[in-house]
Amino acid sequence: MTTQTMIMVVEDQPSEREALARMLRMAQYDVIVTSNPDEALSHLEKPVQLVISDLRLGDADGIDLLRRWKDRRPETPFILVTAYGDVPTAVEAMKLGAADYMTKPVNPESLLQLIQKWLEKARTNGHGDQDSIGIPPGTSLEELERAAVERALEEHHGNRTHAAKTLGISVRTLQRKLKAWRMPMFAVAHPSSQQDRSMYVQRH
Amino acid sequence: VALRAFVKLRGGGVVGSSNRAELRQLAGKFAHDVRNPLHAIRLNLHTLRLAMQTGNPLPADELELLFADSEQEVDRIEQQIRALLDSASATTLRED
Repeated sequence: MTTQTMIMVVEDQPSEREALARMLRMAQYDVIVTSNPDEALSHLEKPVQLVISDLRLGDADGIDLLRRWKDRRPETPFILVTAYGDVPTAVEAMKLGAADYMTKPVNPESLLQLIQKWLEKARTNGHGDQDSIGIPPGTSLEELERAAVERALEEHHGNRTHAAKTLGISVRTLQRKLKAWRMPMFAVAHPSSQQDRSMYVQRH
Repeated sequence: VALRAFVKLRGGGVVGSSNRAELRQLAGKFAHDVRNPLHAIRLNLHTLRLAMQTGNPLPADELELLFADSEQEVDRIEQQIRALLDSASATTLRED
């Protein structure tokens, strides 16, 4: 692990901000801590290699920060975390270029793996975020949402309970969506790794 | 109203459709208020695990902060649960 990798944490709750920063420092990352979008954007000129932001930042929100950060630094992988975990917001975040979206309480091992994965991608192709989501122009939110659901089901071999947990929604909500989309009982064509819990759609 | 719906749901009663949105809102807020402190506690535990695994102990003052923060987060969860239970009890009494 590179000791000079700089990660920025954006979190309005002091105890959560410190907990995340402390763990990242223990994992040998350099960490910048900020509590709101304006403070985060004041570090645009620094060599920040990855951003982890809460979705709700008091009166501000992480989606707005994501949009403004990506305008200036589109290459930075951006991970959003939230205690809510609603699919439409996740889909919007992905469409705006978020690398990933995790629901609190995050699994620290998964988060560290995700960080490594995105840093590695950024190093190898110089554009970590471009491999994340291949969204053709004109793609609707519903199509993205459906793709996220399909991916979660695939990851969990069709297990709706686990897929719903990954998506941050109830099993009932998931079932309603499957019914609305007339999706049959999910058949697994290509079971994927259980380790990668990221819920968004990767380029195939 | 949402709490009444919650209590009815727990007691096996029927929740009207007009209350479902409020119930969802209540559940969402409760989940949010509990998941946040759980998040901090989980991260702190992992920091301790990493410290142990790497043989790279936290400085004493940092360790003290970690414990203090974690205890504070446990208190936050306890407060949320107590508030929910108190509200549910009050609602039940009113219904009785």
